[in-house]
Amino acid sequence: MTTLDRALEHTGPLEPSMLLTPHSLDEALRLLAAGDAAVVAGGVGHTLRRHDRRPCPATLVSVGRLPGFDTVTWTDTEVVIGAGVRLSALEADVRLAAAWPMVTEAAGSVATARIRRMVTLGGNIAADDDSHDPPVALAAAGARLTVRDALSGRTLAIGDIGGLRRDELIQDVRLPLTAPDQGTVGSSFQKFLVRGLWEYACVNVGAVVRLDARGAVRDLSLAVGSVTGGPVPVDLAGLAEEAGEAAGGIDDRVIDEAARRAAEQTSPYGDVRGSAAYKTRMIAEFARRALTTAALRAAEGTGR
Amino acid sequence: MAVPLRFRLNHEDVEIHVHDPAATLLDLLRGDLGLTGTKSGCAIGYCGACTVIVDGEAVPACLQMVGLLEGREVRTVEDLAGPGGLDPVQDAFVTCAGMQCGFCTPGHVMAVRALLDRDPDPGEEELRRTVDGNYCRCTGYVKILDSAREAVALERARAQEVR
Amino acid sequence: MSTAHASAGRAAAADAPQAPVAPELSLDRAVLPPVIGTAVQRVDAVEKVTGRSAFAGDVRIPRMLHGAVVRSPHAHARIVSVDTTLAERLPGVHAVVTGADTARIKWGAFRPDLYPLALDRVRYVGDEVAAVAATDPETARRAAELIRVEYEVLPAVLTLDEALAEGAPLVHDDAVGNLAHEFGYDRGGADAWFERSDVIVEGVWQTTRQWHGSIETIGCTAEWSQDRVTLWVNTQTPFLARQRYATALGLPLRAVRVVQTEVGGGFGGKSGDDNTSVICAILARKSGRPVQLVNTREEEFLAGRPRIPMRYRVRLGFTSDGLVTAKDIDLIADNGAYTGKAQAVLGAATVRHDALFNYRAVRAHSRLIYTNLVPTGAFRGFGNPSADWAVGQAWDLAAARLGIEPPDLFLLNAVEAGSVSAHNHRISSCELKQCIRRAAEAIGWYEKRAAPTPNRGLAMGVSVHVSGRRSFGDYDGSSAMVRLTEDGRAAVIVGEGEIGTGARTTLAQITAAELGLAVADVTVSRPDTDLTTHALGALASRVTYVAGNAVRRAAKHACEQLLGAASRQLGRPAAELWVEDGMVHAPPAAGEDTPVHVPVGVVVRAELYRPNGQPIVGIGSFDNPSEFPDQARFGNESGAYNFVAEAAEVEVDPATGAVTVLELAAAVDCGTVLNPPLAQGQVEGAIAQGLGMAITERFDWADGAPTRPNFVDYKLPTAGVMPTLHVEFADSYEPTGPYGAKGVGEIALDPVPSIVASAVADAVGVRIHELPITAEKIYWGIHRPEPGAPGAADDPAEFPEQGNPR
Repeated sequence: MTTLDRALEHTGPLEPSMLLTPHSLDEALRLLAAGDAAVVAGGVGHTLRRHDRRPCPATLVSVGRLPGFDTVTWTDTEVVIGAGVRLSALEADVRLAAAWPMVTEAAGSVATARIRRMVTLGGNIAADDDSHDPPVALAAAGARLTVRDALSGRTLAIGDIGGLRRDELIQDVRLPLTAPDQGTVGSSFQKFLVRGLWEYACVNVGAVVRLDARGAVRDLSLAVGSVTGGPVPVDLAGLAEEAGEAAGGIDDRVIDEAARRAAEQTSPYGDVRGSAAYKTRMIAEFARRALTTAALRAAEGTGR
Repeated sequence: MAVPLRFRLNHEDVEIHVHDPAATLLDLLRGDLGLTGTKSGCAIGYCGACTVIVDGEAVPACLQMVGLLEGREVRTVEDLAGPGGLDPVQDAFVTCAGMQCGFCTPGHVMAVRALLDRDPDPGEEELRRTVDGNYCRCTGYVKILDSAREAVALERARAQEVR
Repeated sequence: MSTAHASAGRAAAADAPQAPVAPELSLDRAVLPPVIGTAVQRVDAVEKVTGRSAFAGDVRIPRMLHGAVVRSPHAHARIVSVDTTLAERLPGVHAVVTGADTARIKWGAFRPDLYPLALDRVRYVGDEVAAVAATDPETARRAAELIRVEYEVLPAVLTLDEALAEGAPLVHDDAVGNLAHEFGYDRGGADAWFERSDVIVEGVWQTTRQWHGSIETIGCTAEWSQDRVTLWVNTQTPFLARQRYATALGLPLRAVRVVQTEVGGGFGGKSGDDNTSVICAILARKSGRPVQLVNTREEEFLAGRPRIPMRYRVRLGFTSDGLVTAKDIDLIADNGAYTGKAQAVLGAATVRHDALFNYRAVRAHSRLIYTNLVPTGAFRGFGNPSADWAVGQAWDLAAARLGIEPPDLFLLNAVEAGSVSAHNHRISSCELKQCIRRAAEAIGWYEKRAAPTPNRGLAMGVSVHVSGRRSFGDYDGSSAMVRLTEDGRAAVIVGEGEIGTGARTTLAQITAAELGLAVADVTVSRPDTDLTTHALGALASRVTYVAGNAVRRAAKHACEQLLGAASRQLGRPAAELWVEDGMVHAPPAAGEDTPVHVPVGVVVRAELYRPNGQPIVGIGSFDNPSEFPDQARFGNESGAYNFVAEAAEVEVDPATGAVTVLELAAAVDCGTVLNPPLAQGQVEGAIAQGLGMAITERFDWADGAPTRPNFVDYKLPTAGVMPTLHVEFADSYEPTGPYGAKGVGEIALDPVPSIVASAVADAVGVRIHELPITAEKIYWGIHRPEPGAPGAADDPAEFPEQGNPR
């Protein structure tokens, strides 16, 4: 985002960058290992930093067109989304929309279609911006990031993205899948556009409800964005059990309690989209809406 | 150190040397190439005035790094009208008075052009979503939406003529 | 578009040139020429859709350099030193300028208080300190970043209250109490009328800064030739700008030439009150090369001249049967660091609204206060939207107190043709009551009232605007030349210009109508202070009315010469001749069977190609039949007033406070509509800007400036938030207007914030007192605020507003 950061007054002029285009993931990782290099995929984040005249490494490594980097792969237990998948492709993925509607909704709510065609999922996550939409949905879904450097790989939770090193690259994002005999999952992403038009969220919330084969609640999950340290997974300990005991699925008391915890456990900041006090109220409101929709979808057994 | 860059621009092969591959397509078009039909309104991807078509998709030229254009195909507003007259999308904006100051107009035209290239018969929702991606400070969008609808009709009529 | 109108020439030939206004211009409404009131295609449409129009940043001159400006990061500071050494050494840099390179002259439209580049003090975040010209924009920007400015930060006043506080730091040493301008009046004895009132409503309402948000930013290209500079500028007002720029540059008027480029949106923001063109000229002089300087979007926000935040205390009195008695306002306006046109805006914001209703007495006290914030100035509506919001809220409260539906209350009190306001606004044509009825009908007012929907609300507002205003010396006129060409066309030479409204198209229509030519055979010049007639330009909704009349007279004058020439050439009396479809026609001569038709171009050429031949050039002028208001703003500002009534229906989500404007109806009285799509476009676009002012447009602020001065935070309305619009034009005719037309450029913006606020109050019972109308304010009005949280309150002082500086 463009910030009038007066501390930047004397950072000095930008020098032209060097752009390297590796042909394989390994080559990309070797270039990153050489130091003072940054990853560009869609190039949006880098272009905006440059516009703001923020310091940038001299070398850029282009990974947006690496082979296999923009594919979505399905197994019985998970869906693996390449980090180079554009948000527009994610938004339009019908199979993903059936399994994880929350994720396609989040991808589809970023800025405009034009921006979504440029931005990759990996880039959106690596920006480590608490207001970005996809990470909120991915956090609620319990997604794991496959991260590589030149020598090895590791797995990160969405919330640990701050630990991504300069020589590392997000390779893919993995979302768990539930076997049909294990019950159903419903999910929903809610983005509150407080002025009614496209922009960053006032609050954004992802919610997941898992029902067992009998329709009893097995698991609830909620993540909140646009808050300090976001996306923040909400601790809903005990709530799924409480809900599961109630026959006929999730009731309003459980949803209200989850919304209350979401508000209690998060620290929104005041900005042009609302004061912290207002956002706290909105976190509860949109947590309620997200959980209600997710529960409905789980009950319908279709995901959607 | 200038590096070579090859891409297609308005149906012609272009080979140039760029000093800074992280520069934007917008600056390249307006500065080095003198194609001033693509306008700069905010330089951060919000206003849509610099919308061009890259590999068939509408993108803001201000967010498009030139270094990432290698081997790709770019169309600007300069490519639309030819000896045969205006593009149907341009005709629609003229007919429906879909402009006032005209500064945002090339961006609107290119956005609708890209939409019709992808889907020659988009629904009202899709038209609205497309127009929603470009700012206009003059018109209140009423006549721009009219123009987008008219463009669909003109495109359809032209397709039938060709057939 | 093929057009011509029968017997234009015949009518013209019968008239003496430059006859008095009323008889000459009062055409019978029934015989308007066909090209008037027709959807004539814009003359510049093809250039615009092809991207060929040359806007300020599209100008290309050989050897042209690009400029960049160094601006103050502090709201108030003393400049200790400026070190330009590093910048000057950067390859590609051709000039670096500071205040030392200027004439050290303060300039400004009404109160000269602005230096082209700061000399020793900066007064807001964005104040210009130094500038660079280099071979390309990036090099210029880099060089600017290498300039080292040492500041001694001074205490700043960042709110109206801070600026008015006892012992507050002074923004300008010569403005005691930070007072830039003040006036007041009591006309009709307000106290006595309040005493006789049965119902009195009162409240405080505050507006906030709104930026023009033209998608094209301000820009200029300057080139010197010996001791003269030519400026290609996207200004709305080339002649007024030239005068100010010459002053700022310390040059005689004759040394500055201003040429208007295509203008990518004006709205008041490009009316020549900022330093960009002046700095551009200084850079070009020092570098000895042409220089182009175009604001970045960030600069446009930091150093534009946004709408003035105004705080109104309003008091209205009524009789129990709904007749308005008295109005009293106390107005404090935030001037920012420099004055520009804010002083004139303050005047309109104080008096204009009084031309709407039959007030028995009006009293006002208005003050313009300096702060260390971005200077404010002219923005479409020119104070009216602020007045209409504040006073409109009081009217809405009064309607509720009186138990009268707002449209009915307005009808009881609205002015009519012949009304005269307390300030001597003399209303000629006026269809305000028709507008009120039609807006109510278009939105389905009474049906919706009869079957209310939960969380939905209805509201109505009205406004009045001028068609040109006498602001700059005792003149609000225009003049034009119409040259008939030997190829049969008309070239209109007029200095008013085009900022996107379609003025060149409507002026072409008027010319075509007068001359019996097709619109395609008329060209209208762009302003050039060396070549075109003097003009005040596109401000105060004046071009259609003032320039339209001047052009019409010039065309008529040309037509007389044409017929005179044809008369001599054909040996027929001029009274028998007329022009139609580009031909001079005559009935069959005596003893002949066939009528005579001669192409216009043939007549023009024959008039020239003879011994002592003459060109055919018609001239015409028109001065707004208005008065130059005095210091206390008494005087009939304009010769014609335009009116609007607007009604809106909104829906509020009580769980979030989010408001959706569902429908908005506008009924406009702008006299004859010369070109329906163009007039509709003015109304539709003005409503969108009004919705931005009402709901979406605001910033986060820190230390006297927006933290992210771009469209990330500042949201212009997009297509997605536009309500269903119903735009209608009243059946109306202005006797002094060209073919009955009045201005239409600004009026439809004015009531929008007020009707959105009133509709929200109608929907959920929450009355907002400070713009913009945010979901959060509505939410806290519905739900009990937590201690310390912002809530709806009657006193803005208790109302922390995030959209305003702190």
